[in-house]
Amino acid sequence: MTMNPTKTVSSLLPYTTIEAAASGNVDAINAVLKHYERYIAALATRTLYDENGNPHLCVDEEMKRRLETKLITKILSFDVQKIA
Amino acid sequence: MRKIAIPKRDRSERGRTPSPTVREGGELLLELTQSQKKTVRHQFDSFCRKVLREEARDYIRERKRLAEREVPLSELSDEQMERLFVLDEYLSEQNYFDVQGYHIIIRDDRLAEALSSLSDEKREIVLLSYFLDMNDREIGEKLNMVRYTVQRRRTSSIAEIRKRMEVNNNDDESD
Repeated sequence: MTMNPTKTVSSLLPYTTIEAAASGNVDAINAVLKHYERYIAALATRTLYDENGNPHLCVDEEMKRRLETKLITKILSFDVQKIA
Repeated sequence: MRKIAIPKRDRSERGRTPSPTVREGGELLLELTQSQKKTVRHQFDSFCRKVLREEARDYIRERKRLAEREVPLSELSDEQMERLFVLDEYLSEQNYFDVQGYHIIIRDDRLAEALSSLSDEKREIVLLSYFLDMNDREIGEKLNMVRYTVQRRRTSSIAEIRKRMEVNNNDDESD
C-alpha cells in the first residue's frame, strides 16, 4: 500500500485496499470499516435525555451494527472498474 | 475483466517513476491511471459515506415510525391490557344445553341456572327462539306445535326466567 502524505489523499483509502475490499477480501473490508469507524460512531450517536432533562450523548450500538452491516454489503457491490 | 485491465496499467506504471509534479494530461497513460485511481478512491469514499448516511436516515425513520405505533406495556390502560389475552374455555367448565342437535353454550351462570330450572319443553323453545334466532312458526314446525302455543310458552318461560333471576338478585343483595 502506498500512502501519499498529502492531507486530502491520506483521508482516502489506498486504491489497493478498495479493490481488495470490493472483491471480498476480509482484511480489506475490516480496514474499510476501521476507516469509517468514527463516521459510523458519529452517525449512530444519539442524544438522550435523563429524567432531569439533561442531554446525554450515547452511541446506539444497534444502529452502529446496522450501519456496519449495510456498509459491508455495499462495499461488495462497489464497481472499481466503473470509470475505466 | 478487472484482472485483465489492471495489470496492463500497473506494468506501464512500473516503467516510469510516478512524479506528482507531472501535469495532468501531460503524460497521458501514467497520469490517467493515477488520476483514475484517485477518482476511484474519491468515488469509494463518497460512496461509503452516502451508504452510511442513507442507512442512518432510514434507521432513524424506522425508529420514528415505530415510536408512533408502539406503546410500552406499562403505559397501557387496563382496558387495553384485557384485550391482550384470552382465557381458554373448556367445555367441561361451561354450562351448555343441547337442543335439536345444536350445542348452545351459556356463559352467564345465573342465566344458565334459570334455564335449567325450566321444563325441557319450555327451555327448548327459549333456546331455539333467542339463541338460534328462529321465529315461532319455525319452532312450531320443529316441535309439532301450533305457532300460538309456541308464543305462549315462550312468553311464559321468559317471565319465569326473569322472576327467577330477580329472586337470585335479591338473594345476592341480601347476602
